[in-house]
Amino acid sequence: MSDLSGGRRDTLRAEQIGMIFQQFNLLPFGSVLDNIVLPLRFAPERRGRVGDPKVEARALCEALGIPDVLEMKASALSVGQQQRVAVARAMIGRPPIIIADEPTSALDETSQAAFLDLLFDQVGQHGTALVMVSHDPRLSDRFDRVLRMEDIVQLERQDA
Amino acid sequence: MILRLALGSLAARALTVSMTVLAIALSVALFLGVEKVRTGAKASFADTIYGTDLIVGARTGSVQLLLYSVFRIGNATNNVSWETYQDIAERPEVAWIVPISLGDSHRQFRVMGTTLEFFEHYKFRQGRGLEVADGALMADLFDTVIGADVAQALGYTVGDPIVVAHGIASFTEHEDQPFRVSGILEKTGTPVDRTVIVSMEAIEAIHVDWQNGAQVPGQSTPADVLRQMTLTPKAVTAALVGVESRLQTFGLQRAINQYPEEPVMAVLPGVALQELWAIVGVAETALLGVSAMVVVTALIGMMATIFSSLNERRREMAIFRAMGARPRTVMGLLVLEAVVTAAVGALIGILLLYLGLIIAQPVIDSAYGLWLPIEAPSLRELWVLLGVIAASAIVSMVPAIRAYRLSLADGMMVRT
Repeated sequence: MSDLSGGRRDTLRAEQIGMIFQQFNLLPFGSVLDNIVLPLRFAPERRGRVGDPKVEARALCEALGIPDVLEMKASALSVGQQQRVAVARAMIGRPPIIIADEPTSALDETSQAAFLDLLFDQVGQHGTALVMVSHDPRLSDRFDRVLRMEDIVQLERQDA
Repeated sequence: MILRLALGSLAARALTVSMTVLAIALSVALFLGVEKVRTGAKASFADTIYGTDLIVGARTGSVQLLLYSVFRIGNATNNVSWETYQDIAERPEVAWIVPISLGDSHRQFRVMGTTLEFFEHYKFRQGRGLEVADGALMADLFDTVIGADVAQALGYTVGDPIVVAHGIASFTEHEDQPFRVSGILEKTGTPVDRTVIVSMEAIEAIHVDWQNGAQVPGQSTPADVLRQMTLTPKAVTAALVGVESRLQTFGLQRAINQYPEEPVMAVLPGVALQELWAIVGVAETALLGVSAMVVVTALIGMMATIFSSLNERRREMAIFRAMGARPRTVMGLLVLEAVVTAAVGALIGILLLYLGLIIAQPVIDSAYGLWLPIEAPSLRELWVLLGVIAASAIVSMVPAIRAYRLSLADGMMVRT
């Protein structure tokens, strides 16, 4: 993959990977709908899997429990709502891989569990691989495979 | 949708963006304003004398004749005799002829002897004539009509007495024959504003008791006696001539230049004005330089604001990149924003200019006699506007390339 040109890497990232960031990174001035469908703009294949982007975005929002926010500005949402919008943005067009970077760090324990339920539910429905980074070892039970950062670092040190 | 997001982004940064737009608008307005003043000054200069076909004077350089007869700068080396003047006046091609007699002064202003026809035939700026703002034209031998600058600088009103000095920058004055201000002219922006106008006869009258450039001691003819005398001028300094038909101009010019009895010459005012402009045109070049500096400063200012706006947009650009947008798209967004900003700025700049012109035009005209025409932007000005927009696109490439090279991680860490 590291041999690919910059442009090909961009396309690959757009087509294959949905990203959920620690700070969600929504465009605050855009509407929720625009934020959710933004990845489709750069990924024709994902765009092709979606019939009507607006309908798809609404369906995702309903599934994620935020049915009424489509027309709102992203900056007007609560943290929990923003997080769900970030998930919807990552899920739209069903990319094969979702990378989530500490998506639960901003949530208390109860909300964390509820959010993970939602996330796993969606990932399970679409058969998507979820790669998630977390500081919280309690979440590890829910994943098929767990890599500890310390182990990777040690491996690299042995290599060197 | 990308466009909608780009516009949303612009709207979200409305304050910063409007500052940039304002800066560009002011620069554009300033540049176009300087251009207007430059072309206006040139046009006003070229319009100093209008409708006069020939200027006649003693044989000298055409620029010099123009300088002393129209601009009242410098002195005539020779006069034209009254007989020669009469000969020229009687030629069939001549529709009208106005004599001008120079040589005396009042304070720092020149005194010009002429006839009442001067007020009728002297035109400037596309045929505008002289208007009396206050009082009336000369009726008495010792009446004088003064230009707007003379009245303003010396605080004269109608009825005030004036003592004319003999020669220029001289201490001998024609104290025994004081004049009276009978009228004050409207501001014209021409040298007439700085002229004290008296009749040809008056010039003769004040010199009756003078011989060889000095007053004969103890001799002073009373004003009433002078009024009774027949005062025929001995000579004129120059004459403005209008021909019956434009086609005869060159024939008459040749005839005057070859006048056998006295070395006289005739020049076309337009040609002489152009020759003169070639000399004083350095000022125009200087203004052109100022214009160029204004534009360069504006572009640098624009680059600075675009650069700083890039900082605000780094996170946004990183999000676009993370979503799979190509660097090309990100660069396009930045360049598009710069071009839109510059275009809006240029447009507002033009509006500002015309608004300013509408307000300032009468003020500048009456204060400086500088006429700034309100007309559609010239092709040259449009090119400059296009240049500003193109330059904004080029300038924005620098931050755009920077945005491209800043890695995703860098942008993501910036907190909004």
